[in-house]
Amino acid sequence: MNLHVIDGPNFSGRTRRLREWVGLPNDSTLDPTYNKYAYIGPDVASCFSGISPTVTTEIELSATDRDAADAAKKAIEDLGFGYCLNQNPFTLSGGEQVVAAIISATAGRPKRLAIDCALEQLSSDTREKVLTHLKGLDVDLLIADNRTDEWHFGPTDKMQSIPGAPVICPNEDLKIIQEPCEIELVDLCHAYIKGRPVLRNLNLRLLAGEMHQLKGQNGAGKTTLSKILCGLIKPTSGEIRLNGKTVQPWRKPGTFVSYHFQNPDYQLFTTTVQAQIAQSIQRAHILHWFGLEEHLHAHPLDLPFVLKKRVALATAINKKSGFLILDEPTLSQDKFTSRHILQLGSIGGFIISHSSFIAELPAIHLEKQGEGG
Amino acid sequence: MNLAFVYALIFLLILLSGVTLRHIRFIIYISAPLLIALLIMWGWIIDSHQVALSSVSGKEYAIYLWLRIISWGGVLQFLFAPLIENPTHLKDFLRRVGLSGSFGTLIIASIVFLPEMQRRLAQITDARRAQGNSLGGLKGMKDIPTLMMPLISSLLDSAAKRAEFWSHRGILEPGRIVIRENSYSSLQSVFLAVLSVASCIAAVLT
Repeated sequence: MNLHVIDGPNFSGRTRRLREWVGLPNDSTLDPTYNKYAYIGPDVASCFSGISPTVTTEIELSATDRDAADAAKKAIEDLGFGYCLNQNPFTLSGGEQVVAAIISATAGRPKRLAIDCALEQLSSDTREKVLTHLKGLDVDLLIADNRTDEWHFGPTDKMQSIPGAPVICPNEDLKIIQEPCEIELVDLCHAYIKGRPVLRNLNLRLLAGEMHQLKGQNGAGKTTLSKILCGLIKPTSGEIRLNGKTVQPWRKPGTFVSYHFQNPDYQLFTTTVQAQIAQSIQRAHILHWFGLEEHLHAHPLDLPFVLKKRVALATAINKKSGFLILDEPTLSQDKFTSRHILQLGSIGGFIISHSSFIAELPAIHLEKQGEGG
Repeated sequence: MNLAFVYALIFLLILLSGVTLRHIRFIIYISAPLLIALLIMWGWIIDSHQVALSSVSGKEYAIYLWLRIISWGGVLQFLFAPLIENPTHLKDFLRRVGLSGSFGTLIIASIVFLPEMQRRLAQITDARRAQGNSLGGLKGMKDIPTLMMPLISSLLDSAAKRAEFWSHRGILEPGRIVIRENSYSSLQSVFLAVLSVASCIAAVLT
């Protein structure tokens, strides 16, 4: 097994290099040795067959033989994700999907495995466990990643940095001044199924201009809390107060808190970048700050993933809401841009991410509630 | 009587193939209202003697039609419902009938289209609402085209990526070892053969 890691800024040709290495050139002509290789891109959901009702069947579908399938299932259990085996791949969280996609790919016994920025969705512990597992297999690995600073490289691992590529965002500070405001959660509870609470008696206070990291294991209620604050879900009980006054966000979703989802593709609804960020606060400054000025008239969905993510982030900074919830805002962004994006912390709210960039932010810990409450 | 025997066989197969609940739903929600309508039509409204059905009463004829409907419904459910319940069986099914490669991929892609669309639409709707847009009432109706753009775009993009995934991993290639068990057991296959013969006899006799 050989591990090669490519580090470098966005638009430096990493994805192209990875795809060509596994026989996926951009002219759609497959290399004759293609089915001995596997590729996992940043959009992990597209690395599932789409027809498997469970992760187990996804593994069996990809496996070359029963031994390979059994080994893959055992690997998922050893990595601590055994509970995912009977779940639909598309209902898993981002990190769980990455593990399921990688292990399913290895069930096909590929000679080469290319992973393009997908490991960024894993916590550092899980990433190390997955890499250790992969290093024990007979597969050559080529990985592009923006968070290599957090990695522990072995003596035989090879690292390559691509220098001199363009940096898109200008080296400028974000200049957005928020009105002072405060959001308070009082004894907030939520349960999707009666008797099985996801959130229980949560008390929390957020101030404009203060960004937190939202931490908690899978199922602890990070997404549920985000959806409640944004108004997509009505909590089972409890109170939400804005500047001391009780509010009901579910009556006007997106009014008090703006939510940036992990996948930008679902958040772009207009035919130009300009129209997409029409509601953004200090539009000209935001466009310049995200390096989107030259893409003003481009269709947002035609842009590469990295730029789509920036347009979706710019959309979230709108006039209506004083707080931001950012789900993996730095996904696929290079180190420079990731640091740049974290200036959005001056608006206030919280970030859900496994990136070490946010380690210095004050943390809000959510505890997973036990069965039966 | 013959048709009732054929249906009994079909029902046995349905029990074995694990789609009993689906079949019972079909009986209750689709065929039962149909039976009532047929009984009303042939038992009271239409005079069976006027349409050359002097050998059987109108009500018997209605029941005969109903048995044919539920028999054919049962056969179709037996053949295709397990594939829909667990679509991974489809891969084996397609290969057994000789449909592998790009044609097989095309069929699978078309079958997974609907659930994938529903999944994406839910995420897109959430994102739209999170941007402060109401999706109810007249305003929501006007917003439908707006929702369609990311939906169609992401579906097309996903279809291209999935096609690449299937081809790249060689999942339908002949060299690939299929490890899933066949959709139907040997016992079920015997029943299927018996059913086919019985259906032919019933068709001739009735």
